[in-house]
Amino acid sequence: MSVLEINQLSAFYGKARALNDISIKLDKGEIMAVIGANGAGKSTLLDSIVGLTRTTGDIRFEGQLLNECSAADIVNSGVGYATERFNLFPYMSVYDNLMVGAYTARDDVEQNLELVYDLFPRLKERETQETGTQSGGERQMVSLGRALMSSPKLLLIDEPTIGLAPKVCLDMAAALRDLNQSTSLTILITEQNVNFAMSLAQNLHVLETGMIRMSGTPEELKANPDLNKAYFGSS
Amino acid sequence: MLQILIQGLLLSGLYALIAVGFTLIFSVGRVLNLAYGAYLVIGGYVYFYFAQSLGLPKPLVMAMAVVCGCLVGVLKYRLIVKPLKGNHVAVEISTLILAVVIQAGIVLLFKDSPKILHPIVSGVWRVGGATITFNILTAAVSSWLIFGGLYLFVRKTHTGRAMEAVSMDTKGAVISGIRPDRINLITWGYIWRLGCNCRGIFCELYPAFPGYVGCAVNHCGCGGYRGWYRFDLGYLAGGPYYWIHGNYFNLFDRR
Amino acid sequence: MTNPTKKYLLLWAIFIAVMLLLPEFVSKGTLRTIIFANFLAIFAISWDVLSGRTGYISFGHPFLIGIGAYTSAILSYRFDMPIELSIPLAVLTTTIGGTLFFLPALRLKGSYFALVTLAFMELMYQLVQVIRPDLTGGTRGMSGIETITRGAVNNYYLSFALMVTIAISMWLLMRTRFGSALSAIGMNEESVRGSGLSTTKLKLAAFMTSAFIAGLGGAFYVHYLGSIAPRALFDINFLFTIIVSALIGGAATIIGPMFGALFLTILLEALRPILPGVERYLIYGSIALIVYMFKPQGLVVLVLDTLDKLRSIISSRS
Repeated sequence: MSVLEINQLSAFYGKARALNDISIKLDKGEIMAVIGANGAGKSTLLDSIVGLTRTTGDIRFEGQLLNECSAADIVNSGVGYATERFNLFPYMSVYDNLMVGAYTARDDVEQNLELVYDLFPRLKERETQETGTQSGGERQMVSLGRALMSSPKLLLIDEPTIGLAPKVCLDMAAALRDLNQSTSLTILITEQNVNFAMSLAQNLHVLETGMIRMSGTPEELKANPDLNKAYFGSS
Repeated sequence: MLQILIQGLLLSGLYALIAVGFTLIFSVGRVLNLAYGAYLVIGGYVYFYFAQSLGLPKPLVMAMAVVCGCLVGVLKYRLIVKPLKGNHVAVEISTLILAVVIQAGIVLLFKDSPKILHPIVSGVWRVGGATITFNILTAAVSSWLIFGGLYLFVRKTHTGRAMEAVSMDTKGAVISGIRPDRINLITWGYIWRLGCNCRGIFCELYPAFPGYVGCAVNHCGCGGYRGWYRFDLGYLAGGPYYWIHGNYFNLFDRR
Repeated sequence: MTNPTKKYLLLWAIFIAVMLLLPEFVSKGTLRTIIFANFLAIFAISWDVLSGRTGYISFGHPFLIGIGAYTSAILSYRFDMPIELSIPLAVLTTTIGGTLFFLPALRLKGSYFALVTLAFMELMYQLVQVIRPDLTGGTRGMSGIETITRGAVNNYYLSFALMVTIAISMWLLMRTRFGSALSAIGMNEESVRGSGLSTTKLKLAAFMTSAFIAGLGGAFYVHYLGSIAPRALFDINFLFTIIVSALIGGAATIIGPMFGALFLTILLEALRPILPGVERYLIYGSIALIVYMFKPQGLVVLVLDTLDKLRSIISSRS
């Protein structure tokens, strides 16, 4: 059974349609990436999965229909969402940010904290620093860590590499791969950085103006002349 | 001068507590609660009626003030704040109207002459040239205890942290599985409790008077208006100011 | 001239005619009530120009009214200045002084603006009592201030003329591009700024207009009452009455605040035999709260809607 199954999803802001007829399927332990430019609807897709936008179509998580659930219920049922770093709590310490993430998983706090600190030792060093004063990369780690604190079965990550230095990108990719292999966590990321996405994901979707243009494995997409033209500037 | 310094120091905690209650709801719910002054007043009148007119034991009345405060706060959230969800202007104006309604209700029940409240603890303590009543000392100690308790609550419990989280970034809180709605409800209940608490202590110092509905908001606005989550010394620095301000009321204001 | 405008002008004419004939039919006491309603309508219009339109809630209107009232009172009472001179000076002082005070506040958003304006009211209340009490009369205020005219009927015509002049000028002003820009700020400030207009300038203009009317109303009001006291002016109940008049009648309209002021004043008077004191505000406030919660567009819209419904019921029957 697939972990996440999205069928003919459309999302709206007021009357404007931000997503159009999206269908995606994720299997357990899979890493999938949705790539696209700014404004293509990547963040909207993730917001829709946790119930933050008005949608039509089906979203199923482990067979359960999510459409009618509140965001809190969805997070509670095992969907972790690492937003872009702007949604952290700037005047709280790293530790407190992580503890807010543990709101729905209070029994697993110690175990999850260990996992996060193993994954990002830097966070342990900076445990008491307020996240508002941290660098972009560190905040990205806190955001991911906070999502992991809720013991998720499916992890949604919005643009993990945005604003990161190339070296930090490599670390991030290694951390995510590590996480995926050690806990067989299912991961859905959105990315503008095509290289990063291809190095990580088994399957990719290309999102353009709210619609899926292309799908496939990294090899298939690399072989596609249209994509090469759009994202690598060569044919 | 010594008198002013000592009293200012003692009372700063109390005023800080009042200010925290006000900023709490502003930070979490993003609305000015203009009925906050009314909370203080209700606490005072509950104490006056049950402890002084009916002669019930003081600790019991304190507890009653807290419970009834919570109830009214929750009712207010359910009946006014939630239906007007998202419309901050509407919520603020309705809290202003509510303040007036509560004030009028109190006048209806108790008439508008000030009620003298007996000190909860009697006795005085002389230090140098200064006189400190045990009453003020008790007020200071209890407000510091409540202040400390509030600090621990926010820092060490999941609910407290969730309140902080909602105040800083609602989306961030939602995707951590927090229901802002519930947290708002808790906060409204909580500040009523805090408000009534404050007034329970406050009432020893000033007579219960319906006119305080308006001025109490003013107390809260000036010193620590920067989001309660910082919990920094701003409130405390505001304390002596509030105290001078409070005295100022007594000196010049002969309503 | 377009048809709707003609219709509105006709309505204005009927309204003015009825109000002009009113002293023939009602007692002096009722007339005094309506005089207060007229002044309240002026204050409510002043509030509405700023807050009802732009959505920047001012809790400090008594502050502006106070500047106007006190300036004119002090000038005429302490310095024997003729009223013809003291009132224009008071209006000027309110417009300039109020603007200077509020200038920093206009850079603030939403709740912060509301809070700062509230603080101004409290500040004024405290200052009036301690700074130069020999001028302001301190806590007791002043009485025996020269009045413009005597008798209920004369004062009624004066207050009514003032209100109608202000109402019609505001009505005309709000039909200009300036008025639409203000309403647009209330709906979405970002997009107004995006379309190249300076929202700060617009808000400033709205504020000055509002302060001008408040000063005018305040100055005339003090020369109607003949007395002034800080407690009556800088009072949460007074502030509440102004704001509720505008909202209960219908914010961002001209007829709304006028209707609201009349409604509230009459309601307050009707309650007097039952509850003589401040207790009236319990009922008054509850009604305001219920109307505001269930019909935020105000009573005028409520009445029109009800009429429409009745009309459709009648026409469906026949």
